[in-house]
Amino acid sequence: MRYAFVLGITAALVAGWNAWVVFHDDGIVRGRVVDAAGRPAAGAVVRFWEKTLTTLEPRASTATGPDGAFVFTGQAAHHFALQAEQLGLGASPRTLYRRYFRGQNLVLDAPLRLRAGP
Amino acid sequence: MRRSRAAVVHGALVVVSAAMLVPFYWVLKTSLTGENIFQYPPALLPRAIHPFYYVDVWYGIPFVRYLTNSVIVSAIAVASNLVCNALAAYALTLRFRGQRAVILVLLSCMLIPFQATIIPAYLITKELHLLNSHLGLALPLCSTIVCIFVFKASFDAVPRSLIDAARIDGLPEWRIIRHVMLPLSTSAVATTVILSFVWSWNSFLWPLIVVRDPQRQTLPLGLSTFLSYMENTTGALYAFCIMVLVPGMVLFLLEQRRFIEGLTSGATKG
Repeated sequence: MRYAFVLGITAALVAGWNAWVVFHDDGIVRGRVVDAAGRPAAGAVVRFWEKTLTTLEPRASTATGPDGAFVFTGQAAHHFALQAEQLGLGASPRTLYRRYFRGQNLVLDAPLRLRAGP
Repeated sequence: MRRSRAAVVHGALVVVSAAMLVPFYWVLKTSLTGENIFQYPPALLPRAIHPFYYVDVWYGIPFVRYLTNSVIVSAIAVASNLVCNALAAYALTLRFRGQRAVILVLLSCMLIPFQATIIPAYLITKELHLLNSHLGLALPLCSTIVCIFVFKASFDAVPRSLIDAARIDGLPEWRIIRHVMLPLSTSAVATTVILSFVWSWNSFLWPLIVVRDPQRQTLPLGLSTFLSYMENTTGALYAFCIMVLVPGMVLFLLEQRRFIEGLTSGATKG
């Protein structure tokens, strides 16, 4: 009886988790870039790196829209870094992000803030 | 007086149990936080818990492939242990000439470590063309002398009259084992399952020698490979350790009562 209960619960959790993953694994990463004063930075270049266990591999780059928003699609890396850069406004620190599974759709909580370099 | 004495004994047992559990707690804590294990003073409580090291392990190495290999090898080992050990133990419960000599030989073989027999085991496996295969990985673990004697102790406790009645009814010997002895020896079955599963699940030296293809590696071998080429990955390494430990611990928790009964079934009379 307890075998059936434990295996049943495990199977249900695994099935439920996989179902959630199937519907949320488009590899979308959304965020915003702002300048040091907090204003949207249009036309900033945002770079996406995949973090392996040993190194960072560049994967994609995109530009922000008029409202400073950017979006990456089809990026499956579960551990990745983002950095924004714009001529005249500086660059943001390279920030690491994590996902619970590969391709998890993610909306960044905090914007990437550009800072003038030294 | 009795209560205070019992309280002292229980208190001591709690302290010893906690001391035994500290390494497990530390591995679990480090797998969830990735803290530096060498920092001083050590942090007793975890800070900034997150499960992402488990995600790193899941995607960083072929964990599902290693898990599948370990499950297949352990399933073969457990099934063959149940069959072979039960048959051997039943034979030892029968009276025949040379029974004591056979028991002495088996007990003597228990003194020989597996490492001393690894070369002939490898040569036999190679002649059978079972190198780099699941059956070859499970072959040395298909029977264990300890479990034979666990079964024997349990079979000895079965009344002879039941066996005699089964023979009178015309049952062949293998059906006597299947329908009379095994149902009355559930604790021995549980003990054999747990011991054979744990030994096969944690087996490292034999897979290291037999496996050639990285896709055939089992979890302990995968863990050592992971450790050999990764640095500064304490969180991921400990997460891998937890993931390897969990199936054995779950199996033990499911069958711990029968496991303890099986180990102690021959210890007392009546």
